[in-house]
Amino acid sequence: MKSFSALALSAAITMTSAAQAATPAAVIKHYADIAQATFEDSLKTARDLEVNIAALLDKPTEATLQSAKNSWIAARVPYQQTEAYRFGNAIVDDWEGKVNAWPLDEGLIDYVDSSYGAESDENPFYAANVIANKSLTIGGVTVDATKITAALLGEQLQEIDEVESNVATGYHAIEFLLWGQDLNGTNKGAGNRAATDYSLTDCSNGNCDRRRDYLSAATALLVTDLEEMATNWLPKGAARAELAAKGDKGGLATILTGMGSLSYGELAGERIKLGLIVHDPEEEHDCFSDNTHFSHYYDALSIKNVYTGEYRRVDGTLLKGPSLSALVAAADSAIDSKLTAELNMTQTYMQVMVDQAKKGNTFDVLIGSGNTAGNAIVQDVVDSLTQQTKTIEAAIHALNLSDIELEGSDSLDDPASITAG
Amino acid sequence: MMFKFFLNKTTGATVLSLLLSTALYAQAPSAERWQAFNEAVISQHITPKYRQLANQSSLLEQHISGYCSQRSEASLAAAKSQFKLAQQAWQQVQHIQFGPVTMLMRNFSLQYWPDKKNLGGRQLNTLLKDAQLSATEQRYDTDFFAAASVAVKGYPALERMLFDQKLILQLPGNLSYCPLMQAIANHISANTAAIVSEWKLELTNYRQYSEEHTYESSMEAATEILKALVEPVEAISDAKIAVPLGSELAKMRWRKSESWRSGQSLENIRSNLTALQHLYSGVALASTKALLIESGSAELAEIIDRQFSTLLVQLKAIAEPRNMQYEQRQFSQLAQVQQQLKQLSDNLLASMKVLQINLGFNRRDGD
Repeated sequence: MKSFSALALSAAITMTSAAQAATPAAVIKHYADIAQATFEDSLKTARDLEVNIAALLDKPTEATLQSAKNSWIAARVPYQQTEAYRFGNAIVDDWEGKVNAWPLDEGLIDYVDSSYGAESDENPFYAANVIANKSLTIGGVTVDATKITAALLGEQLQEIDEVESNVATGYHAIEFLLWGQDLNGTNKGAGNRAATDYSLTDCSNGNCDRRRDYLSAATALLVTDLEEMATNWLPKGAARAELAAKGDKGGLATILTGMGSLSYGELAGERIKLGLIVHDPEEEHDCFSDNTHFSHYYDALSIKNVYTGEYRRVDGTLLKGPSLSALVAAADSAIDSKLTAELNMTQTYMQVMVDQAKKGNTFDVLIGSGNTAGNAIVQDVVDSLTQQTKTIEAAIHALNLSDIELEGSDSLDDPASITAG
Repeated sequence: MMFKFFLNKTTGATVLSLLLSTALYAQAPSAERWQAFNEAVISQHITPKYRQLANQSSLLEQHISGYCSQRSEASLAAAKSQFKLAQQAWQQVQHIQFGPVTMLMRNFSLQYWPDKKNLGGRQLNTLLKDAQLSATEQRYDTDFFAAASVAVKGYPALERMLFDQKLILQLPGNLSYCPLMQAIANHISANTAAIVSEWKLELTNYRQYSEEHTYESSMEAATEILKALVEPVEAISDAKIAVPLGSELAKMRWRKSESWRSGQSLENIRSNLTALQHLYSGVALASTKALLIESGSAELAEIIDRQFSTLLVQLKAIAEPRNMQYEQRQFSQLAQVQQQLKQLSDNLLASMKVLQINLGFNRRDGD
């Protein structure tokens, strides 16, 4: 095992001798600065979404619906780039489910096609349809849904009955309310909800007043939740305090833990390979909007951002500072070169997926059974993410952080229990 | 997003201090000892257990064919009990996630679980419905399995077809039911036989180590094996017990358990732990336990072995739930097992430090 010697440290300082020396403390501070910027951009674009949704509700037309959809897609760009902060920072991971929980049983929220089915082994609230029902009594639990409020969604319906797929809030609930179900299977095409679903005068599919209330409440809640997290990353915020408490080594281990966990278990595994092996559009991250390619693309970019210390803000400005890359290079330049190349390679493979989507071959089409070429494109992404994870592990060893990683991480192997509470 | 309700942390403080006191004298195993470990595990653990799996799966194929050619209560019962034997043989190798079982995603093909979106059910229904509507006879051949979803080609699909009382009602009226079931059994049998024969070739990976080979060192090869020992313990605790049990009795949802249709959810865990203990201490000459003792951690080595034994005794005393529901007493017993698995997992992680093994990221990270 290589040790992260004082020599390596001084080498790191010499190499980036200018104003922004890559010391562990400087790297960790800049990592937090990028978090602040990314969450602030997420908040800003969510507020834009809120404005456009208000315009949709004010005048529900196909044009205002399209603007709302466009601003949802734009809001995903910075948000997905926050995901490298999720694993390793407990304050983010504990909060994340409120805004980005997935997959969801959308029948909890609104009407669904008959092919969805009426019941599920896993979820008594599978087809509860809160928009159509002012009161729900299921499995001995009664929910008063007379008024659809942020509190009803966030405090009562979200994960009701301890079922994870009861997702009542966040980006994907809003996505469903804007697009509706994608009934095209693994063929081309996304969800196709009519703007009249929000019309008070020409209501389609019933309960438009309650659907409007739901969309407003879910959007307001998203903004509130993002405000909370952006505040946490301000200079004196709770997220920074949590990070500082781990010390230099703990902070660096946090960055690498976030990179590796997102790369491998979450992105390569749960969100991509699972869909590939079951060939099922239900396993698509953004299954209503068919925006999955971009969600994955910006997730991967998030990993690269925290490594290179660079983030392109939504207003176009580039945030750049002391990087983990420089620290790894000082300890073992070969590992840094390899990891940098692999992170770029992943972006290249992600770009192939984005280009396919532009031709209508969205993620649900690519994973279809018998679509050999499409499957191969997705497999390339999985392989590339898996490969970079191995090199992230090598970087952890190069910085002599292996011990820290296991002791300091909540999201890796949290020895926890169900009954002690 | 998974397992959000595991809020409370327990620490392995006692184990850690124990570890610190011995770590001063610790000596990690040599390359030769790791090589002895690899060879012992392959010859005494991996090879015989895969042989058993292939044998039981071949018998399952025969029993399902027997039932399909002559349908009776007795032949169905025989097929069902053979299914259970094959399933337990699978549970004894479920932890092995390297080598030939990972080729062509066989690990997922043999068992896709957990199936949170009920894909197995939906996709099987679609296959059976399509077969009935189609004018031509369905062919469940190599091409079919190459393109099919993993959710319809493993043990869980057969479990549904044999044990799901609503599904099997379709059998007399659907001419494709038996052919599909037989084809899946045949596919499983062929896959498990292939794993056995491919392990013979796999052995070359354990003869030479370098950057050009699969493993750079005997220690790196051993790390893969040790991942198979350590990582499943927490996964069993979470996915197989905590999730279906829920945070309190009223929240118990046994349909989330692993093999509730065949009533083998707990039997699976017993098989898992039996196999893991065998991997830990049952392998002669160079077991994990032996290496731990050689490295100066005899006490920790013994604690872990005892935990395995205690867990198996406790699990033996708990029955599968009746009508998918427990009484408070059994609920608490199983919750206690779940807690102890967490402690076992902590101790195994601590033992990896003694052996100077870094397990790295695993595929459950991010859950």
